[in-house]
Amino acid sequence: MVKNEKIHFFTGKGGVGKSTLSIAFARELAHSGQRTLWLEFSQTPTLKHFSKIELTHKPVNLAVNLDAASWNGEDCLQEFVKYSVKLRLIYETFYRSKAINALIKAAPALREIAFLGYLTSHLRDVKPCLEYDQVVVDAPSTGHFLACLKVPEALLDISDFGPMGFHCKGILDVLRDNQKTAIYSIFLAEPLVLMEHNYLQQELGLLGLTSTPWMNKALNPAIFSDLKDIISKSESSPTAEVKRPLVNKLLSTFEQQQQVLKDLGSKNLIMTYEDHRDAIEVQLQAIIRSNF
Amino acid sequence: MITSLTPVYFFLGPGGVGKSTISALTAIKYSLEGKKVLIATFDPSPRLKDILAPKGGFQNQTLNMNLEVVVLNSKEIFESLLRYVDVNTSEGIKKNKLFKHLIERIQGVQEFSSLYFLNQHVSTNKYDLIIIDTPPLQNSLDFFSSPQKLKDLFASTIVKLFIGDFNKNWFEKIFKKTRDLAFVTLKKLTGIDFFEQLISLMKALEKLQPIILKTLNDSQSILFAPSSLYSFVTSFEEQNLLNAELQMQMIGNTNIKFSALYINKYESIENDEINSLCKLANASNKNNLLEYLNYRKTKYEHQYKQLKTLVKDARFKLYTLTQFVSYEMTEADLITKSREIHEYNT
Repeated sequence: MVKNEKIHFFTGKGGVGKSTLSIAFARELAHSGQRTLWLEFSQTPTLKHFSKIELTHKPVNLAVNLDAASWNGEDCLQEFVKYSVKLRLIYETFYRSKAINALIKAAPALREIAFLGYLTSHLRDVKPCLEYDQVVVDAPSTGHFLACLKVPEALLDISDFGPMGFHCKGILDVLRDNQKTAIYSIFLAEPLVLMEHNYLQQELGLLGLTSTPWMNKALNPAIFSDLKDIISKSESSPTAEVKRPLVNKLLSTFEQQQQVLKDLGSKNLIMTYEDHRDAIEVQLQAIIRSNF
Repeated sequence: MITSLTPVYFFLGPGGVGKSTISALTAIKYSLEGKKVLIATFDPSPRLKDILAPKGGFQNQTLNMNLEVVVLNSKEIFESLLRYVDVNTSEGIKKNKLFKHLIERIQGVQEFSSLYFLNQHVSTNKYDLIIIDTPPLQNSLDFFSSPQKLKDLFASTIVKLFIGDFNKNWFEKIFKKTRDLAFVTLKKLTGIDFFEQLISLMKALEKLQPIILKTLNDSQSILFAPSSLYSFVTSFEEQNLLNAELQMQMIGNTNIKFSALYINKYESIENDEINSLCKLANASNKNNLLEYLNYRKTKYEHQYKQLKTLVKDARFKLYTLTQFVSYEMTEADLITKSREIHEYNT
């Protein structure tokens, strides 16, 4: 396999399975021999996925080739300032200043640009830089993620030259390059989730970015046909007519799913099925093998 | 002093569980019952926005008369605050590029916007009920601490730190020196343009301080008033139910009391049905299907168990709502759906 350094963003409406998928995805990339970092971008690190390990800004090793970290913009900014300001005295004066601390908390966009800047550093040859082949980002849900991605362009409007302009241009170049960035829009075959997926695609388009649609928790067609099979058998027996909410739910879910596939077209669409918990790894192995 | 406050229903909960939908449906429900309802929500998905705030009003006459929807926009709210400052300042803010693009990126601005909106309407007596769909937060407790956090941010000292001219005594002079040194570093790192826009935004915000602080003070008393009722919204997924339990516990430790819990995407599945399906699958040697059914069965068992823990000794009403099945919601769909919010009996 050719090593191709890349950032993978997992976004979508809350509850679609971004975290679960991104972790499994990162595990499989690491398993295939690539140095991988799994990241969450959040003001307060969530511990739900690694109950025993507290994630910090500094990556923690989870398995061979796999590190995990929790970043917030303030830490990224600090890392950048520490590197850029060589004199320790000046750095300390900077961070000891009440004015600066208040500013970093309040100033719009500083945190986002520091996050995107550090995240793309190794792909822009800018220091301080990350040393991973693959970075998998458990990104915020649609609205917050879009707001974060809009920052570089907004800042470019303020200053298109100087250090800020330089970084913003570099960040946008990386984000717009399909070889370096992949944005997965995770969705389910549910009306509201789909609505948000379409909105994300549209807004990303305006920013000059593309995304890969990824349907999660889909119903496996093989299981569905098995289900239809046994239902038709049971319906022929006289005692069959009872309330069956689960069957109805599965039938309508599958119908919706087929409709979505028809609307979106299956080209470039990734699908993961809800079979049982372990199967997601097997599915991702196949996806990674055929796509990366 | 405010004498009579309109009742306010706050809907709290994480993103993605259907908080906007549930608060919208509740607003519709009460409007149809004849109450005058005002609902404020933050940019829900575009489609929902079209339905909730249609141009030219609702088709349904009762809704048309009784329901008023406001889609909150932080930028517009801050722009409306500009009438409290002189023309030069307000023109300056409008031209500021940071303000133009990034006002919503300041932490707590969305919370401020909903509180400002609330202050404007809660004492007018124009409505029987105001519904606030709060901005999604990872931790709902943050909503209650946001006035204090913003107050700290806008407290005169902080803004003065940026732009104040410190020359009174040696102590001030030292402060000014270090601050200016830090500013030189910041200018170097970000570039002069960004720095100047930032300072001019801070100067402008200082002028808005009195009105911002007043809003925050007034709203704190509304948040904790007996006329304010809180509902928590979550969905029927195990992780979300667990999360709801933790968050409601944390908020329960404060003075806030929840009056209702809404479970969205609720499913009522009988064990009998799954068992009979399993039997059929087994009889026809459909092993994959059998495995899938068993997986779902365990999943439901976890969900119902978690739901039971959640309602145990609960002092709030529990409502359930099943999932939407239609592709595109119409006004009629929403009305139908609003009647499907059911009280859950244990």
